[in-house]
Amino acid sequence: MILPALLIPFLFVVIPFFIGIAYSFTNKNVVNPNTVFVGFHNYKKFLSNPSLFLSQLKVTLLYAVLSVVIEMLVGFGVALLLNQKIKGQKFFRSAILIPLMAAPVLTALMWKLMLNPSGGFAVVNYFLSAFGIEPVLWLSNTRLVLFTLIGIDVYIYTPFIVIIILAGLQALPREPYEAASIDNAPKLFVFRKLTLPMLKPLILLVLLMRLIMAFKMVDTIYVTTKGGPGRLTRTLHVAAYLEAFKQGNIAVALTTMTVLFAVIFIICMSLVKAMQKEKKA
Amino acid sequence: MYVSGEGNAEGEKGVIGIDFINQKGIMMVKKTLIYFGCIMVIILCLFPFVWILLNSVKSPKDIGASVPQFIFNPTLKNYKDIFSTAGSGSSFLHYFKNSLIITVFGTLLSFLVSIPCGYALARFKLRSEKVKSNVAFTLLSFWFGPELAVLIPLYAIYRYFGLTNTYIGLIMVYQVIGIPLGVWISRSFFEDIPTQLAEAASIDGYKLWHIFWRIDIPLAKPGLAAIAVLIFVFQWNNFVFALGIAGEKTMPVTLGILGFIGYSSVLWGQMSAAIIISIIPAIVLAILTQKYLVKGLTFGAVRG
Repeated sequence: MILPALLIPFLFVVIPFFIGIAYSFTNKNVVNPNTVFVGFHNYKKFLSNPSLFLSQLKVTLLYAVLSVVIEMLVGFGVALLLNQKIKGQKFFRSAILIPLMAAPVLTALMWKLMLNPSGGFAVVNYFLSAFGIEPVLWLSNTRLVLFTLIGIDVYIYTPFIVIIILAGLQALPREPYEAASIDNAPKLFVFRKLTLPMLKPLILLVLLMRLIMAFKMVDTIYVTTKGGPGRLTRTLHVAAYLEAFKQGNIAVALTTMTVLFAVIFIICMSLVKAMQKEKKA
Repeated sequence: MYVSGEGNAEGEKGVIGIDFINQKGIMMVKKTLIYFGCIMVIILCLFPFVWILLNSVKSPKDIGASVPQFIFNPTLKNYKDIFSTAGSGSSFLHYFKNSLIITVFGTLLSFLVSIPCGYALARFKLRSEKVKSNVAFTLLSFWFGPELAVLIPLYAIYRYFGLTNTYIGLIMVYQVIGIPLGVWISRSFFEDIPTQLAEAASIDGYKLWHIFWRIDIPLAKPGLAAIAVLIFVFQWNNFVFALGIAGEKTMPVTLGILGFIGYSSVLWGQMSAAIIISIIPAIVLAILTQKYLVKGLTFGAVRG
């Protein structure tokens, strides 16, 4: 009964994955039919070229870490807000699901339209003009563009954190809170000493999931900027796509992917270690 | 003594009264702030969708205006265009059909393959528990690996076998989304079902297959329906797999919709209408299965 569920991913994931790693040690590309083994040549070239590796790693890290940090903070706040005893809680919760459940690529496309510098669609700049702010070039201003993308990511994935943290909050036991209220403990103290520690395993889990998702995000970036302007929003994953499917440098693309895989693996392992430590303590 | 005592008592009562009113006032302010906050969050969440919906019923003149128009004559022409078989918007129907084919069959296959696996992992005694959790975690890691590391070599393999730009090729790749999700969530559902019934049936001599089919599946039904829906939603929304290996013939909406930008002038109205139609299936289904969504999003780790 287990076998079919393992067989399909094995054929369509594991085998290609290892073939891919093997390709990264060759000079395989679309134009050159003679593929030969080149050893670590691609890795040396990739890792020693700061305009490739360092800049792409920097963009990847900035995008992932900043989006996830903002999402965690905002998401936690909204979850606490929705956890209050209010009427229409069900409606609020359904509404907050919508940005998450629409395809990320379509949501990003919607934002791309709304962030137009001017015209009938450019509603964001239109609202800003009411405050006397000049039209902003959200997706072409070199200083702004990465933060615009992070903003779109925050819009899409904050609900992810909200609904999971909200479920965690509602599953918390009542007794410790009753004890705290009898002792007249200040609210902030209760939050820091009761709520946060009890939610810690859940917070680490969400953090881990979101970090992995953000590290390999392609949808929002591809549809809005395709990695541009220049290389400003080119993360490792997007760079690999452009190398492989636009330039035809399959070996270089797979080198990039192997590096990304290693980066994700190292970061996840350290987080998982932290989680296990937490469990033991 | 007596008089002053009474005075004191009255004074205390007064203080308590003021305190009470103050607290009620603070509560009112707090409630108002909470509602205000919630409403702001909801407006922020929904505004982009409302804006695109508005634009999908605008005429080209209103959409092409130099500033956003909030008052206009609504028209359904954009929707007619994307559902017609001729003209600039005709390709949308083709992409939508592709999405349906890939996702429906993809969901079906994931479901049929992953539910027995989830059941086995929840119920069977394997030689060691470690094997079971290794199987589960291996499956999970497929979901979290960066997709292109697999897609680029897979593209080469598909070319060799003539599977590029075929439905079957795409459906097989989409299993990577469906199977881990199905296995993890169904495992946690089956773990929640009490085993006494199954044990009683097995003492009565029922075969394993009967117990699975006649007892545990019916008990898990609502959860299983939710799993199917979640797999559908995640496959429907996928973009990267299609970006890697779909061609014009098999392209799903998530990729095909970008084609509306490719023309010399962007077809804003048709694009808005296409976006609205494309997000409706996932959103409707997601709201219907809201109860199980937390379980789905955390792979069964958190009971929603």
